Amino acid sequence: MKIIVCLKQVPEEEDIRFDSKGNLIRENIKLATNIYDEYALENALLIKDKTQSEVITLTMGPPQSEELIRYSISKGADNGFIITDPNLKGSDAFITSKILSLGIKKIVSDDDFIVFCGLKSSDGETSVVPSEIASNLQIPSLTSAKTVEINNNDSIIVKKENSSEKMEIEIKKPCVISFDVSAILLRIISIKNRLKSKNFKPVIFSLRDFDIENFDGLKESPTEVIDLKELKTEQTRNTKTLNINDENELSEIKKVIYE
Amino acid sequence: MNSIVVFKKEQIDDFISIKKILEERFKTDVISIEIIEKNQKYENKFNPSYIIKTDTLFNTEITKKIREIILEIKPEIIAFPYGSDMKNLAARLSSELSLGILTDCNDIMMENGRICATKYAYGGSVVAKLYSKSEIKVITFNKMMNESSENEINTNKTLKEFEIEDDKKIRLLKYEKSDSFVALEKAEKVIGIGRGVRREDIKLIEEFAKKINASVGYSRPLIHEGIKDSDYQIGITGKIISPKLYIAIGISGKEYHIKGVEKAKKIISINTNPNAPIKKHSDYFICEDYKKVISRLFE
Repeated sequence: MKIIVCLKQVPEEEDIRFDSKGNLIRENIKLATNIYDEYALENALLIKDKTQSEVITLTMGPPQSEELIRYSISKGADNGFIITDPNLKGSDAFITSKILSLGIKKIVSDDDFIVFCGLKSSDGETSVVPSEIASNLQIPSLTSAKTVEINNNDSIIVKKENSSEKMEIEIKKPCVISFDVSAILLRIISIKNRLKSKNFKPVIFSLRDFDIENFDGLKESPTEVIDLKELKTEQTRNTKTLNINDENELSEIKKVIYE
Repeated sequence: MNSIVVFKKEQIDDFISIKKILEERFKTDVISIEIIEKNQKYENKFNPSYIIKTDTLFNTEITKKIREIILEIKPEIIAFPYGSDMKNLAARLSSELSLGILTDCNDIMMENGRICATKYAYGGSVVAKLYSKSEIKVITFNKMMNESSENEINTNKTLKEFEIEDDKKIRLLKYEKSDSFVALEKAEKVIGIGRGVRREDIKLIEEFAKKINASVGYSRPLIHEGIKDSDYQIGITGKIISPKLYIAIGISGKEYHIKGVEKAKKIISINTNPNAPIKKHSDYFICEDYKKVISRLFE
């Protein structure tokens, strides 16, 4: 079985900056792996540990996404693909899911596959790409999974759990599952895999590989970003700064807490 | 102009809030589609325009029925309340109809003749304004600050009821409601633990919480580290809480966190950074190491 894990490089949260007008700066920022995708990858690797499956990572992005794919190899993925093309710049979730679906079709040769994604990307936060990929491929989708188990040859058991409800859902292959962050441990990179990743060259697709010409991601996208502004908060309460070394102020705070 | 709002049983209040927004902003008629899971008991307190009965919300046939209704109603907006299952439905629908989709929107408005929406992005440090070029706009909303819906009188008749065949590819095996833990939303006292707390000290704070009878929640970065399940996340993308007392420890106070706690009656924040944004949202601010504060409070 092939497990295809879709990954995205996102701005590192610590490196989110704004210009003087409060607009998000999008150039020269540090990039990181989308945290939700880390959990999708970990869940795929857990299946690989137990069964004979091949974990393949896939991303759409600029050429530097190679770094992301190499990272996934260092984690334990078997193979990795990049879809990169200057004409994809400005693509929204709808277009992204269309292109990723084309990539998946190139990677798989039969129905023996599942697609794992992060619940959402931590930059755009649309959460729709996994479900849209499933819809494009005309296969079922399940969102916000915590853990999964391979049930038998043709289905997977997905566990969704939160404080108020617990669910176990069986879903037939092929399908798309999106993962939330959870309490499972993300593995540490082994030396063997790190070495393997150093020389790894991902397979690179461009739009030409999908027979697409004269494409403009921004224009083709049905949605468009008007602006990205810094969220600024105003003073909302009359703040009293307390000094806990002052006995009176300490007893004031104790009163509030123990009341 | 017509709009459609799709919702499920426990989202009646969200439906009413969304309906109000759509009516106020766009003078639109709102047609409702309620999705009912067959295994759940149906209370007839509200009559939606359409009912779709299904085995699970992930049944891939639901969108087919919604599309039939769309053909009939010809809406300009199709809106959904918050929830990953609703977003899945909205996403599949938008993909099938090749429509743009805007998710987790806080507000929608008309601007320069376009329907625009605002939402949080980049972990809540950014507010994004977007628009959809599609003829029909698919929009999912963020969590709503609902007012009580009790006064809502609904005399409509349900026009049509659909029942969808069980999905052979997806099957609900187990469903359990658990109420073993006091939900953060219901807790009277809540302590929020943030990135400023050293990981080895989390236990200490959890013990302190027990002592003062408080529930414990965590900020987004800690949840992302896998410290606790995402169900314990406080903030706009996690739980929106309204306790009598909220104590923020080592939490800087980004907007997405503040939006989740601003309904607390009293807020105490403990932070070593005298300029932490949380300060201006607190009734009491203690600029001190939390360990010292806790030990003083135990005296």
